[in-house]
Amino acid sequence: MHVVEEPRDSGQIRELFDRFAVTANRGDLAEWSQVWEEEAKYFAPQTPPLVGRSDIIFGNRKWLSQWQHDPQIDCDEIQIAGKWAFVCGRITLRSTHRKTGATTYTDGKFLAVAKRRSKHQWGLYRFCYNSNVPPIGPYG
Amino acid sequence: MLSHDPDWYMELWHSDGIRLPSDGPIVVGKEAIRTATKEDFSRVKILRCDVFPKETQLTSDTTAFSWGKYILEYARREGGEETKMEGIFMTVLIKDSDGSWKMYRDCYNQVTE
Repeated sequence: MHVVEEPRDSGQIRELFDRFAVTANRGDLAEWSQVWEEEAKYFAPQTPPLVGRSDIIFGNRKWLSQWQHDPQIDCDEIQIAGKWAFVCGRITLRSTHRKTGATTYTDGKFLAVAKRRSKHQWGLYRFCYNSNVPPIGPYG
Repeated sequence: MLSHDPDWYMELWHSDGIRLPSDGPIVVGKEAIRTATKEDFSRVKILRCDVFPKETQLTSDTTAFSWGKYILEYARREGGEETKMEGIFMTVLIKDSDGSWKMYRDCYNQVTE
């Protein structure tokens, strides 16, 4: 792969995933949705593919509103090629139901494609992750 | 997969490939993937392996990614019920120096219907 890795780009992509984690932690659907590209696709375990930002938002509204999440996302590898970036890493997630207190864990890996929006910003274009333990789905 | 021939399966992979399976640790490098695949084939007999790509997008002359659905059915060689796995895969591909496309990164999950 012809890779031109700029530290600035890698930093911006790590910020993208930090924003994903922070807004999910806050249950802030409006801000969380801004992480995604309009034509994004989201592949979570135990869930049919969510296609497009509006589908991703709709599919995750209960996941964000009914559960308190404590995500940890580690980008182990970022490879940048022009307006695209491929990102591999690990994701852990402790999720606690806001009413019942039930807790579940996700411990898995992810592969993502990010798309450059501008000189200073990237968006999530494809995101596929899995879990070593049975996870909850976005429908709560 | 149905031939249970790890060498044939490894022809699909780039030398720097990384596999991110849904049920085990990250496997880094072609030789590690070959070893893991040999172990898999020694433990299970693959009965069905179907891959249905839904989208393949070129990101440059030498890079692409693809995602879709897979269905895998297998039985443990030591006995036991047949198991069906299905889910979504996403793969980053690289065009090798010989012009063939190789799997570079591969992540998949499970979806129970």
